[in-house]
Amino acid sequence: MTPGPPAGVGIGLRREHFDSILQTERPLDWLEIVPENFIGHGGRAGAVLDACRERWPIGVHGVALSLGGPDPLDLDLLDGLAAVLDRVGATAFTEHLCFARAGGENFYDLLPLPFTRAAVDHVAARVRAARERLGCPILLENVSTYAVMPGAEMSEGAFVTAVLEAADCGLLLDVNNVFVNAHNHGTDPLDDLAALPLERAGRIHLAGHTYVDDLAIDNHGAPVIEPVWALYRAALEAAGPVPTLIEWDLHVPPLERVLDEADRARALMRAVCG
Amino acid sequence: MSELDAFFDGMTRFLRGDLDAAALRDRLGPSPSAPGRFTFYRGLIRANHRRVLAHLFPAAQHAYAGGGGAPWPALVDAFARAHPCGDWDLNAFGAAFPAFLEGRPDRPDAASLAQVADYEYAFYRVTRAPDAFDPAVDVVNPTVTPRSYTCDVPAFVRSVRRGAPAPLAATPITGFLYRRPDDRQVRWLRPTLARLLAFARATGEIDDEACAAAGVESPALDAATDALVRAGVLGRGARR
Repeated sequence: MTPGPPAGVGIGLRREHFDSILQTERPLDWLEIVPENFIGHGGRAGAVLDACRERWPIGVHGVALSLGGPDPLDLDLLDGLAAVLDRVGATAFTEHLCFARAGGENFYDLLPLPFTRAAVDHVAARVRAARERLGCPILLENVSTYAVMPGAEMSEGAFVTAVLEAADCGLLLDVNNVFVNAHNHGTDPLDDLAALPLERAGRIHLAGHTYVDDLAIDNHGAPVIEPVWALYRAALEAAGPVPTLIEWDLHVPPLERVLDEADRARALMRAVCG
Repeated sequence: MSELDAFFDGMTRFLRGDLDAAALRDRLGPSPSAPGRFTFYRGLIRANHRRVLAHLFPAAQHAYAGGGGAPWPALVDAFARAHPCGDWDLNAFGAAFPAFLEGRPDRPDAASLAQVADYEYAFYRVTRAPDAFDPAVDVVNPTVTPRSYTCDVPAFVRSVRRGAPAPLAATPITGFLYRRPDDRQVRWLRPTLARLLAFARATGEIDDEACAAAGVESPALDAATDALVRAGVLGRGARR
Protein backbone atom coordinates (compact mmCIF):
# COMPACT_ATOMS: atom_id res chain seq x y z
CA MET A 1 0.00 0.00 0.00
CA THR A 2 1.28 3.46 -0.88
CA PRO A 3 0.50 6.18 1.67
CA GLY A 4 -1.49 9.24 0.55
CA PRO A 5 -0.28 12.77 -0.12
CA PRO A 6 2.05 14.56 2.31
CA ALA A 7 0.52 16.05 5.45
CA GLY A 8 2.03 17.23 8.72
CA VAL A 9 5.80 17.58 8.95
CA GLY A 10 8.43 15.69 6.98
CA ILE A 11 12.14 15.70 6.27
CA GLY A 12 14.30 15.25 3.21
CA LEU A 13 15.48 11.72 2.44
CA ARG A 14 19.26 12.02 2.54
CA ARG A 15 21.97 9.47 1.83
CA GLU A 16 23.46 10.11 5.27
CA HIS A 17 20.28 8.67 6.82
CA PHE A 18 19.87 5.58 4.63
CA ASP A 19 20.97 3.34 7.51
CA SER A 20 18.75 4.94 10.14
CA ILE A 21 15.60 6.16 8.40
CA LEU A 22 13.89 2.78 8.17
CA GLN A 23 14.72 2.01 11.80
CA THR A 24 13.20 5.10 13.32
CA GLU A 25 10.08 4.85 15.45
CA ARG A 26 9.81 8.60 15.98
CA PRO A 27 6.98 10.63 14.48
CA LEU A 28 7.64 11.41 10.83
CA ASP A 29 4.79 12.30 8.53
CA TRP A 30 6.38 12.34 5.08
CA LEU A 31 9.62 12.37 3.15
CA GLU A 32 10.81 14.51 0.29
CA ILE A 33 13.22 13.41 -2.42
CA VAL A 34 15.19 15.16 -5.11
CA PRO A 35 13.96 13.12 -8.07
CA GLU A 36 17.02 13.79 -10.22
CA ASN A 37 18.91 11.53 -7.80
CA PHE A 38 16.71 8.60 -8.79
CA ILE A 39 16.07 8.98 -12.52
CA GLY A 40 17.41 5.88 -14.23
CA HIS A 41 19.33 4.94 -11.14
CA GLY A 42 19.23 1.68 -9.23
CA GLY A 43 21.31 0.30 -6.41
CA ARG A 44 20.91 0.96 -2.74
CA ALA A 45 19.37 4.43 -3.10
CA GLY A 46 16.51 3.05 -5.15
CA ALA A 47 15.98 0.17 -2.73
CA VAL A 48 15.82 2.54 0.23
CA LEU A 49 13.37 4.76 -1.63
CA ASP A 50 11.12 1.82 -2.45
CA ALA A 51 11.09 0.76 1.20
CA CYS A 52 10.37 4.31 2.37
CA ARG A 53 7.44 4.79 0.01
CA GLU A 54 5.73 1.82 1.64
CA ARG A 55 5.83 3.65 4.94
CA TRP A 56 5.58 7.37 4.22
CA PRO A 57 4.08 9.69 1.64
CA ILE A 58 6.82 10.95 -0.67
CA GLY A 59 7.06 14.52 -1.94
CA VAL A 60 9.01 15.08 -5.15
CA HIS A 61 11.07 18.29 -5.33
CA GLY A 62 12.99 18.90 -8.54
CA VAL A 63 16.06 21.06 -8.92
CA ALA A 64 17.10 20.81 -12.57
CA LEU A 65 14.12 21.63 -14.76
CA SER A 66 15.03 25.30 -15.22
CA LEU A 67 11.38 26.28 -15.53
CA GLY A 68 12.26 29.94 -15.98
CA GLY A 69 15.12 29.39 -18.40
CA PRO A 70 15.49 30.28 -22.07
CA ASP A 71 16.42 26.81 -23.34
CA PRO A 72 13.67 24.41 -24.45
CA LEU A 73 12.24 22.27 -21.68
CA ASP A 74 14.17 19.01 -21.42
CA LEU A 75 11.58 16.43 -22.41
CA ASP A 76 13.79 13.50 -21.40
CA LEU A 77 14.14 14.99 -17.95
CA LEU A 78 10.40 15.58 -17.75
CA ASP A 79 9.74 11.97 -18.69
CA GLY A 80 12.26 10.83 -16.08
CA LEU A 81 10.55 12.99 -13.48
CA ALA A 82 7.18 11.55 -14.46
CA ALA A 83 8.58 8.05 -13.94
CA VAL A 84 9.80 8.97 -10.45
CA LEU A 85 6.44 10.57 -9.60
CA ASP A 86 4.76 7.36 -10.68
CA ARG A 87 7.26 5.19 -8.80
CA VAL A 88 6.55 6.89 -5.47
CA GLY A 89 2.86 7.57 -6.07
CA ALA A 90 3.28 11.33 -5.79
CA THR A 91 0.30 13.54 -6.61
CA ALA A 92 2.21 16.78 -7.22
CA PHE A 93 5.60 18.02 -8.34
CA THR A 94 7.45 20.94 -6.82
CA GLU A 95 10.21 23.01 -8.45
CA HIS A 96 11.82 26.41 -8.20
CA LEU A 97 10.78 29.71 -9.74
CA CYS A 98 14.16 30.33 -11.33
CA PHE A 99 16.43 29.39 -14.19
CA ALA A 100 19.33 26.97 -13.98
CA ARG A 101 20.32 26.49 -17.61
CA ALA A 102 20.99 28.90 -20.46
CA GLY A 103 22.84 28.79 -23.74
CA GLY A 104 23.04 25.01 -23.55
CA GLU A 105 24.95 25.09 -20.26
CA ASN A 106 23.62 23.92 -16.94
CA PHE A 107 24.84 26.09 -14.07
CA TYR A 108 23.59 23.75 -11.32
CA ASP A 109 22.24 26.63 -9.29
CA LEU A 110 18.87 28.32 -8.78
CA LEU A 111 19.26 31.65 -10.53
CA PRO A 112 16.67 34.40 -10.11
CA LEU A 113 14.60 35.82 -12.93
CA PRO A 114 13.97 39.49 -13.61
CA PHE A 115 10.70 40.58 -12.02
CA THR A 116 9.11 41.61 -15.31
CA ARG A 117 5.81 40.94 -17.07
CA ALA A 118 7.69 39.28 -19.92
CA ALA A 119 9.29 36.85 -17.47
CA VAL A 120 5.88 36.14 -15.94
CA ASP A 121 4.43 35.19 -19.31
CA HIS A 122 7.53 33.19 -20.25
CA VAL A 123 7.72 31.05 -17.13
CA ALA A 124 3.95 30.59 -16.84
CA ALA A 125 3.80 29.12 -20.34
CA ARG A 126 6.61 26.73 -19.50
CA VAL A 127 4.99 25.68 -16.24
CA ARG A 128 1.78 24.86 -18.10
CA ALA A 129 3.72 22.83 -20.66
CA ALA A 130 5.62 20.97 -17.95
CA ARG A 131 2.42 20.24 -16.06
CA GLU A 132 0.87 18.75 -19.17
CA ARG A 133 3.88 16.51 -19.74
CA LEU A 134 4.06 15.43 -16.08
CA GLY A 135 0.33 14.95 -15.74
CA CYS A 136 0.14 16.40 -12.24
CA PRO A 137 -0.06 19.78 -10.47
CA ILE A 138 3.09 21.84 -10.02
CA LEU A 139 3.97 23.98 -7.02
CA LEU A 140 6.65 26.65 -7.44
CA GLU A 141 9.08 27.65 -4.73
CA ASN A 142 10.09 31.24 -4.02
CA VAL A 143 13.88 31.05 -4.30
CA SER A 144 16.58 32.72 -2.24
CA THR A 145 18.19 35.67 -3.99
CA TYR A 146 21.41 37.56 -3.49
CA ALA A 147 20.80 40.24 -6.11
CA VAL A 148 17.77 41.84 -7.70
CA MET A 149 18.08 41.24 -11.41
CA PRO A 150 18.13 44.34 -13.65
CA GLY A 151 14.93 45.58 -15.20
CA ALA A 152 12.60 44.76 -12.30
CA GLU A 153 9.09 46.11 -12.87
CA MET A 154 7.54 44.72 -9.69
CA SER A 155 8.36 43.32 -6.24
CA GLU A 156 9.20 39.67 -5.67
CA GLY A 157 5.81 39.11 -4.04
CA ALA A 158 3.99 40.61 -7.02
CA PHE A 159 6.14 38.57 -9.41
CA VAL A 160 5.49 35.28 -7.65
CA THR A 161 1.79 36.06 -7.44
CA ALA A 162 1.60 36.93 -11.13
CA VAL A 163 3.40 33.76 -12.20
CA LEU A 164 1.27 31.50 -10.03
CA GLU A 165 -1.92 33.13 -11.26
CA ALA A 166 -0.86 33.00 -14.92
CA ALA A 167 0.20 29.37 -14.61
CA ASP A 168 -2.60 28.51 -12.19
CA CYS A 169 -0.25 26.57 -9.96
CA GLY A 170 0.48 26.26 -6.28
CA LEU A 171 3.09 27.81 -4.02
CA LEU A 172 5.84 25.98 -2.23
CA LEU A 173 6.46 28.58 0.43
CA ASP A 174 10.10 28.53 1.53
CA VAL A 175 9.96 30.48 4.78
CA ASN A 176 13.73 30.56 5.18
CA ASN A 177 14.04 32.08 1.71
CA VAL A 178 11.62 34.85 2.71
CA PHE A 179 13.87 35.63 5.67
CA VAL A 180 17.10 35.38 3.67
CA ASN A 181 15.80 37.63 0.90
CA ALA A 182 14.51 40.22 3.36
CA HIS A 183 17.94 40.32 5.00
CA ASN A 184 19.75 40.53 1.69
CA HIS A 185 17.55 43.25 0.21
CA GLY A 186 16.74 45.24 3.33
CA THR A 187 13.02 44.57 3.47
CA ASP A 188 10.67 43.41 6.23
CA PRO A 189 10.20 39.62 6.16
CA LEU A 190 6.65 39.81 7.52
CA ASP A 191 5.69 42.26 4.77
CA ASP A 192 7.39 40.05 2.17
CA LEU A 193 5.59 36.99 3.49
CA ALA A 194 2.23 38.75 3.34
CA ALA A 195 2.93 39.79 -0.26
CA LEU A 196 3.17 36.17 -1.39
CA PRO A 197 0.04 34.33 -2.58
CA LEU A 198 -0.30 32.33 0.64
CA GLU A 199 -3.76 31.13 -0.34
CA ARG A 200 -1.98 29.00 -2.96
CA ALA A 201 0.50 27.47 -0.50
CA GLY A 202 0.50 23.68 -0.76
CA ARG A 203 3.87 23.01 0.89
CA ILE A 204 6.23 24.83 3.22
CA HIS A 205 10.01 24.49 3.49
CA LEU A 206 12.02 25.34 6.60
CA ALA A 207 15.80 25.39 6.69
CA GLY A 208 18.85 26.96 8.22
CA HIS A 209 21.19 29.40 6.57
CA THR A 210 24.60 30.97 7.06
CA TYR A 211 26.23 34.34 6.54
CA VAL A 212 29.13 35.46 4.38
CA ASP A 213 29.98 39.07 5.19
CA ASP A 214 26.67 40.92 4.94
CA LEU A 215 24.95 38.26 2.86
CA ALA A 216 22.61 35.58 4.20
CA ILE A 217 23.19 32.34 2.29
CA ASP A 218 20.47 29.71 1.99
CA ASN A 219 22.76 26.72 2.50
CA HIS A 220 20.44 24.29 4.33
CA GLY A 221 23.34 23.53 6.62
CA ALA A 222 22.20 24.62 10.08
CA PRO A 223 19.21 24.57 12.44
CA VAL A 224 16.25 26.84 11.73
CA ILE A 225 16.85 30.12 13.55
CA GLU A 226 14.33 31.75 15.90
CA PRO A 227 13.25 34.55 13.54
CA VAL A 228 12.45 31.95 10.88
CA TRP A 229 10.39 29.97 13.40
CA ALA A 230 8.48 33.18 14.11
CA LEU A 231 7.94 33.68 10.40
CA TYR A 232 6.74 30.08 10.13
CA ARG A 233 4.17 30.77 12.83
CA ALA A 234 2.93 33.74 10.83
CA ALA A 235 2.76 31.58 7.72
CA LEU A 236 0.69 28.94 9.53
CA GLU A 237 -1.62 31.61 10.88
CA ALA A 238 -2.19 32.89 7.36
CA ALA A 239 -2.19 29.68 5.35
CA GLY A 240 -3.27 26.96 7.78
CA PRO A 241 -1.67 23.55 8.37
CA VAL A 242 0.29 23.36 5.12
CA PRO A 243 2.49 20.22 4.86
CA THR A 244 5.91 21.32 6.04
CA LEU A 245 9.41 20.02 5.38
CA ILE A 246 12.67 20.42 7.27
CA GLU A 247 15.51 20.78 4.74
CA TRP A 248 19.00 19.90 5.95
CA ASP A 249 21.32 19.15 3.06
CA LEU A 250 24.75 20.38 4.14
CA HIS A 251 26.64 19.31 7.27
CA VAL A 252 23.83 16.79 7.67
CA PRO A 253 23.54 15.78 11.34
CA PRO A 254 22.28 12.43 12.66
CA LEU A 255 18.65 11.66 11.86
CA GLU A 256 17.60 12.27 15.46
CA ARG A 257 18.67 15.92 15.24
CA VAL A 258 16.69 16.51 12.05
CA LEU A 259 13.67 14.84 13.63
CA ASP A 260 14.03 17.21 16.60
CA GLU A 261 13.47 20.08 14.17
CA ALA A 262 10.50 18.26 12.67
CA ASP A 263 9.04 17.77 16.16
CA ARG A 264 9.30 21.48 16.82
CA ALA A 265 7.58 22.31 13.53
CA ARG A 266 4.82 19.77 14.24
CA ALA A 267 4.24 21.19 17.72
CA LEU A 268 4.01 24.69 16.29
CA MET A 269 1.61 23.55 13.59
CA ARG A 270 -0.63 21.95 16.22
CA ALA A 271 -0.46 25.00 18.47
CA VAL A 272 -1.40 27.38 15.66
CA CYS A 273 -3.76 25.25 13.59
CA GLY A 274 -5.18 22.83 16.14
CA MET B 1 16.38 40.46 -29.27
CA SER B 2 13.71 40.92 -26.59
CA GLU B 3 14.61 42.33 -23.21
CA LEU B 4 14.17 38.89 -21.67
CA ASP B 5 16.41 37.28 -24.30
CA ALA B 6 18.96 40.02 -23.68
CA PHE B 7 18.79 39.28 -19.97
CA PHE B 8 19.51 35.59 -20.45
CA ASP B 9 22.25 36.31 -22.98
CA GLY B 10 23.94 38.84 -20.72
CA MET B 11 23.64 36.71 -17.59
CA THR B 12 24.97 33.64 -19.38
CA ARG B 13 28.03 35.54 -20.59
CA PHE B 14 28.51 37.00 -17.12
CA LEU B 15 28.19 33.67 -15.35
CA ARG B 16 30.68 32.10 -17.76
CA GLY B 17 33.14 34.87 -16.95
CA ASP B 18 32.98 36.50 -20.39
CA LEU B 19 31.56 39.76 -18.96
CA ASP B 20 32.38 41.58 -15.75
CA ALA B 21 29.77 43.17 -13.49
CA ALA B 22 30.27 46.64 -15.04
CA ALA B 23 29.76 45.29 -18.56
CA LEU B 24 26.68 43.41 -17.38
CA ARG B 25 25.25 46.65 -16.00
CA ASP B 26 25.99 48.41 -19.29
CA ARG B 27 24.06 45.71 -21.15
CA LEU B 28 21.11 45.12 -18.84
CA GLY B 29 20.77 48.36 -16.96
CA PRO B 30 21.04 49.14 -13.26
CA SER B 31 20.00 47.00 -10.34
CA PRO B 32 19.44 48.04 -6.73
CA SER B 33 21.98 45.36 -5.81
CA ALA B 34 25.70 46.09 -5.69
CA PRO B 35 27.92 44.58 -8.43
CA GLY B 36 29.47 42.27 -5.85
CA ARG B 37 26.12 40.57 -5.40
CA PHE B 38 26.18 39.51 -9.06
CA THR B 39 29.76 38.34 -8.80
CA PHE B 40 28.64 36.22 -5.86
CA TYR B 41 26.50 34.16 -8.24
CA ARG B 42 29.55 33.45 -10.39
CA GLY B 43 31.32 32.26 -7.26
CA LEU B 44 28.40 30.01 -6.38
CA ILE B 45 28.59 28.30 -9.75
CA ARG B 46 32.34 27.79 -9.43
CA ALA B 47 31.81 26.40 -5.95
CA ASN B 48 29.23 23.98 -7.36
CA HIS B 49 31.74 22.74 -9.93
CA ARG B 50 34.34 22.18 -7.22
CA ARG B 51 31.85 20.45 -4.96
CA VAL B 52 30.76 18.03 -7.69
CA LEU B 53 34.31 17.11 -8.66
CA ALA B 54 35.42 16.80 -5.03
CA HIS B 55 32.51 14.42 -4.45
CA LEU B 56 33.22 12.32 -7.53
CA PHE B 57 37.03 12.39 -7.46
CA PRO B 58 38.38 12.56 -3.89
CA ALA B 59 41.31 10.27 -4.68
CA ALA B 60 42.22 12.07 -7.89
CA GLN B 61 42.13 15.35 -5.96
CA HIS B 62 44.40 13.85 -3.32
CA ALA B 63 46.82 12.53 -5.94
CA TYR B 64 46.81 15.89 -7.72
CA ALA B 65 47.61 17.90 -4.60
CA GLY B 66 51.20 18.87 -4.18
CA GLY B 67 52.28 17.58 -7.56
CA GLY B 68 52.82 20.92 -9.24
CA GLY B 69 50.85 22.72 -11.89
CA ALA B 70 47.72 24.76 -11.34
CA PRO B 71 46.07 24.55 -7.91
CA TRP B 72 43.00 22.28 -7.81
CA PRO B 73 40.42 25.13 -7.85
CA ALA B 74 42.09 26.63 -10.91
CA LEU B 75 42.16 23.20 -12.51
CA VAL B 76 38.41 22.82 -11.93
CA ASP B 77 37.75 26.28 -13.36
CA ALA B 78 39.79 25.41 -16.45
CA PHE B 79 37.89 22.14 -16.81
CA ALA B 80 34.52 23.90 -16.51
CA ARG B 81 35.51 26.40 -19.20
CA ALA B 82 36.72 23.62 -21.50
CA HIS B 83 33.77 21.31 -20.85
CA PRO B 84 30.58 23.26 -20.10
CA CYS B 85 27.99 20.68 -19.18
CA GLY B 86 24.53 20.69 -20.69
CA ASP B 87 23.31 17.62 -18.87
CA TRP B 88 20.69 18.11 -16.17
CA ASP B 89 22.53 15.52 -14.05
CA LEU B 90 25.24 17.45 -12.24
CA ASN B 91 27.33 14.30 -11.87
CA ALA B 92 27.56 14.14 -15.66
CA PHE B 93 29.78 17.21 -15.30
CA GLY B 94 32.55 14.81 -14.23
CA ALA B 95 32.34 12.50 -17.24
CA ALA B 96 35.05 14.26 -19.22
CA PHE B 97 37.33 14.89 -16.26
CA PRO B 98 39.54 11.78 -16.58
CA ALA B 99 40.41 12.63 -20.20
CA PHE B 100 40.97 16.25 -19.20
CA LEU B 101 43.47 15.16 -16.56
CA GLU B 102 45.24 12.90 -19.04
CA GLY B 103 45.81 15.90 -21.29
CA ARG B 104 47.42 18.09 -18.64
CA PRO B 105 50.78 19.15 -20.08
CA ASP B 106 52.04 20.43 -16.72
CA ARG B 107 51.81 17.08 -14.96
CA PRO B 108 54.25 14.24 -15.66
CA ASP B 109 51.88 11.95 -13.74
CA ALA B 110 48.90 12.88 -15.94
CA ALA B 111 48.38 9.30 -17.11
CA SER B 112 48.09 7.87 -13.61
CA LEU B 113 45.91 10.78 -12.45
CA ALA B 114 43.59 10.01 -15.34
CA GLN B 115 43.47 6.35 -14.33
CA VAL B 116 42.50 7.25 -10.77
CA ALA B 117 39.76 9.56 -12.03
CA ASP B 118 38.57 6.95 -14.50
CA TYR B 119 38.19 4.40 -11.72
CA GLU B 120 36.33 6.85 -9.50
CA TYR B 121 33.89 7.82 -12.25
CA ALA B 122 33.35 4.18 -13.17
CA PHE B 123 32.69 3.45 -9.49
CA TYR B 124 30.06 6.20 -9.42
CA ARG B 125 28.40 4.87 -12.58
CA VAL B 126 28.30 1.32 -11.24
CA THR B 127 26.87 2.52 -7.94
CA ARG B 128 23.98 4.27 -9.71
CA ALA B 129 23.43 1.85 -12.61
CA PRO B 130 19.83 0.69 -13.14
CA ASP B 131 18.68 -2.51 -11.45
CA ALA B 132 18.63 -4.57 -14.63
CA PHE B 133 20.19 -7.87 -13.59
CA ASP B 134 18.29 -11.04 -12.75
CA PRO B 135 20.96 -13.45 -11.51
CA ALA B 136 18.58 -16.39 -11.86
CA VAL B 137 18.31 -16.11 -15.63
CA ASP B 138 20.66 -13.48 -17.05
CA VAL B 139 24.11 -14.29 -18.43
CA VAL B 140 26.13 -11.23 -17.46
CA ASN B 141 25.64 -8.63 -14.74
CA PRO B 142 25.31 -5.43 -16.83
CA THR B 143 27.07 -3.35 -14.18
CA VAL B 144 30.33 -5.24 -14.79
CA THR B 145 32.96 -2.74 -15.94
CA PRO B 146 36.28 -4.36 -16.89
CA ARG B 147 39.30 -2.16 -16.33
CA SER B 148 43.07 -2.46 -16.75
CA TYR B 149 45.43 0.03 -15.15
CA THR B 150 49.19 0.44 -15.05
CA CYS B 151 49.00 1.22 -11.32
CA ASP B 152 47.05 -0.32 -8.46
CA VAL B 153 44.35 2.31 -8.68
CA PRO B 154 41.65 0.44 -6.71
CA ALA B 155 43.90 0.04 -3.67
CA PHE B 156 44.90 3.70 -3.82
CA VAL B 157 41.28 4.88 -4.05
CA ARG B 158 40.26 2.63 -1.16
CA SER B 159 43.07 4.02 0.98
CA VAL B 160 42.03 7.61 0.31
CA ARG B 161 38.39 6.87 1.06
CA ARG B 162 39.41 5.21 4.33
CA GLY B 163 41.28 8.37 5.27
CA ALA B 164 44.68 6.68 5.25
CA PRO B 165 46.14 7.44 1.82
CA ALA B 166 48.77 4.99 0.60
CA PRO B 167 51.17 5.62 -2.30
CA LEU B 168 49.90 4.78 -5.76
CA ALA B 169 51.82 1.55 -6.41
CA ALA B 170 53.14 1.05 -9.94
CA THR B 171 51.59 -2.40 -10.15
CA PRO B 172 49.62 -3.22 -13.31
CA ILE B 173 46.18 -4.54 -12.47
CA THR B 174 43.13 -5.89 -14.32
CA GLY B 175 39.72 -6.53 -12.83
CA PHE B 176 35.98 -6.11 -12.81
CA LEU B 177 34.20 -3.27 -11.12
CA TYR B 178 30.59 -4.30 -10.54
CA ARG B 179 27.61 -4.14 -8.20
CA ARG B 180 26.56 -7.31 -6.45
CA PRO B 181 22.86 -7.98 -6.85
CA ASP B 182 22.37 -9.25 -3.29
CA ASP B 183 23.80 -6.52 -1.07
CA ARG B 184 24.05 -3.85 -3.81
CA GLN B 185 27.64 -3.12 -2.80
CA VAL B 186 30.16 -2.16 -5.47
CA ARG B 187 33.12 -4.57 -5.63
CA TRP B 188 36.47 -4.77 -7.40
CA LEU B 189 37.29 -8.35 -8.40
CA ARG B 190 40.69 -9.43 -9.74
CA PRO B 191 39.96 -12.51 -11.81
CA THR B 192 42.24 -15.45 -12.38
CA LEU B 193 43.05 -16.27 -15.98
CA ALA B 194 40.35 -18.95 -15.95
CA ARG B 195 37.75 -16.50 -14.64
CA LEU B 196 38.80 -13.86 -17.14
CA LEU B 197 38.34 -16.39 -19.94
CA ALA B 198 35.06 -17.61 -18.46
CA PHE B 199 33.78 -14.05 -18.47
CA ALA B 200 34.91 -13.54 -22.06
CA ARG B 201 33.23 -16.84 -23.02
CA ALA B 202 29.99 -15.76 -21.32
CA THR B 203 29.96 -12.48 -23.21
CA GLY B 204 30.56 -14.34 -26.47
CA GLU B 205 33.93 -12.76 -27.15
CA ILE B 206 35.76 -16.10 -27.29
CA ASP B 207 34.85 -19.77 -27.54
CA ASP B 208 36.04 -22.94 -25.80
CA GLU B 209 38.65 -23.52 -28.46
CA ALA B 210 40.28 -20.17 -27.83
CA CYS B 211 40.19 -20.83 -24.09
CA ALA B 212 41.89 -24.15 -24.59
CA ALA B 213 44.52 -22.46 -26.71
CA ALA B 214 45.14 -20.19 -23.73
CA GLY B 215 45.62 -23.27 -21.56
CA VAL B 216 42.24 -23.44 -19.83
CA GLU B 217 40.09 -26.46 -20.64
CA SER B 218 36.29 -26.73 -20.33
CA PRO B 219 36.09 -28.22 -16.80
CA ALA B 220 38.21 -25.40 -15.43
CA LEU B 221 36.15 -22.87 -17.39
CA ASP B 222 32.93 -24.27 -15.96
CA ALA B 223 34.33 -24.08 -12.44
CA ALA B 224 35.43 -20.51 -13.08
CA THR B 225 31.97 -19.70 -14.40
CA ASP B 226 30.42 -21.10 -11.23
CA ALA B 227 32.74 -18.93 -9.15
CA LEU B 228 31.75 -15.83 -11.11
CA VAL B 229 28.06 -16.70 -10.68
CA ARG B 230 28.59 -16.96 -6.93
CA ALA B 231 30.38 -13.61 -6.95
CA GLY B 232 27.52 -11.96 -8.84
CA VAL B 233 29.57 -11.13 -11.93
CA LEU B 234 27.67 -13.63 -14.07
CA GLY B 235 24.12 -14.93 -13.82
CA ARG B 236 23.00 -18.54 -13.88
CA GLY B 237 22.29 -18.12 -17.57
CA ALA B 238 26.05 -18.31 -18.09
CA ARG B 239 26.24 -21.91 -16.86
CA ARG B 240 26.62 -24.59 -19.51
